[in-house]
Amino acid sequence: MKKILLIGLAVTLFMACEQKVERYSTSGPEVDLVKGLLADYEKGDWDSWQEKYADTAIVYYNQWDDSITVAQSLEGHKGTISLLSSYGFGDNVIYEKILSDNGNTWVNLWGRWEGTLKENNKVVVLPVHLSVHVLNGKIVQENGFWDNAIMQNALEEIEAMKNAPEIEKTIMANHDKMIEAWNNNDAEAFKALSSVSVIRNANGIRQAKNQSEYTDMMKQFHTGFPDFKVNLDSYFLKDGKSYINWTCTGTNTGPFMDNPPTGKKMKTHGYSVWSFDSKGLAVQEDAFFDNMDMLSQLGYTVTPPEAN
Amino acid sequence: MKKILLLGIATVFFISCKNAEPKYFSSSPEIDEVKALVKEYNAGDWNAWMTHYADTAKVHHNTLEDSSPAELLEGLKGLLAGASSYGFTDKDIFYEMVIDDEGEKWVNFWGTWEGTIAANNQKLIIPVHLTLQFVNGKIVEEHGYYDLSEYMAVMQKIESEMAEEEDVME
Repeated sequence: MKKILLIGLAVTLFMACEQKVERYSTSGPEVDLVKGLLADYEKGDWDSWQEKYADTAIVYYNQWDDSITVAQSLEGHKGTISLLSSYGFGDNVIYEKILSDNGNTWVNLWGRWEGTLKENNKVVVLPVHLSVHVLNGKIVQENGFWDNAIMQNALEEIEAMKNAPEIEKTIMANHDKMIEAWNNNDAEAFKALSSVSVIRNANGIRQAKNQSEYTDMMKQFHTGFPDFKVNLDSYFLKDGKSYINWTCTGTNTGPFMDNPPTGKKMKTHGYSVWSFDSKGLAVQEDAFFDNMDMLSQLGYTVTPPEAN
Repeated sequence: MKKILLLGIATVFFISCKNAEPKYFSSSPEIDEVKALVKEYNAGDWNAWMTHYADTAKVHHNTLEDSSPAELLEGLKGLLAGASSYGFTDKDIFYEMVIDDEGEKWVNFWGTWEGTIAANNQKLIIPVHLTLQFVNGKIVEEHGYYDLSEYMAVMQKIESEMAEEEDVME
């Protein structure tokens, strides 16, 4: 009797197990297939890449309704790659395989695509999601999601650069170098990009009136925020002036403006008007930003004045 | 001896069953949260929308840079400012949840955003993918993937048309 009971128990458990088909995993032949697809793409081994698709496969890139064929997808990839000196996803791609309610196997991946434009060496970074339906060892459908606007902006910048007068080209190139000098706290690089008597006004108040004072101010930020970074969000040029939106980030782990470190992070947005001389060297920066916003992120508070 | 063997087999099955805890869900409380999030986004009910996020949530839409939910909201409002109507349609909308190998709960969403640009009544359709990690019922991490190139092109066209009109007026 006991034996029958035990057998019964084992059978029941076995059946319960059988019902629990694994519907999520991060490995398996389908995941390997898609990993291979990315490897082929990175190597430019298009024969091997194409073999991974079924003849009838359909591809949707940022689309639900208008699919393209694998051949059209390939043409698109080749077109983009022709503009690049290097490209790829690197190793940090997350893969999963799922079995959908209707019994289809999909491999989803999330990755960071990076490409360097031949024309100006600018690195374009795109977060990419692909969802790939695999059937009998072949890809039958692929859906891709990413923001094409990022690449388009980078290409438009190249076009603008080509059509711009020489002085604007210099100013545009100097923007990037200026950001680099700020981010690396590189006083020498900054000096090479500015006139000796470069001026900085912050919210209308003179902060620096020569290169040394300017680079001292840069240093002050890097002392207070050793991971200090500034990003050029957007800009436009007009009549030898550049109008820039920027974002600064950093962690206050060092003394800042004679105050002890707070250990807190800050992120602040600002706007600068840069003026340049006829050689494209920076002569003045008028920066505008909300100092109070930055200080309150660091934990500073404002005490209202005592009532009279 | 047989009894021990059977017991052994039963134990093995029991353990393998334990290992086979479901990791894929087409419905879950977290999926319901994302459904509510989408509904509130459509309604522009930003106060309710914000309640789904943990205070320390990190969101990334088309970028690897960290943003707070408040910064995302600011960005979304900026994008929506030029739209006379917008929202996720019921068509091509799909939700799933997985528990990954680290035991993290991720809801994946695939949807269709439809909007009309106020300035020229142009309709835009943008497929959107979101992947959202939940801890204790709140979103702690979110990644969004969608193509804004058509939207940007429409906006640039409107801007240049406006600039041309200004030139004519001058």
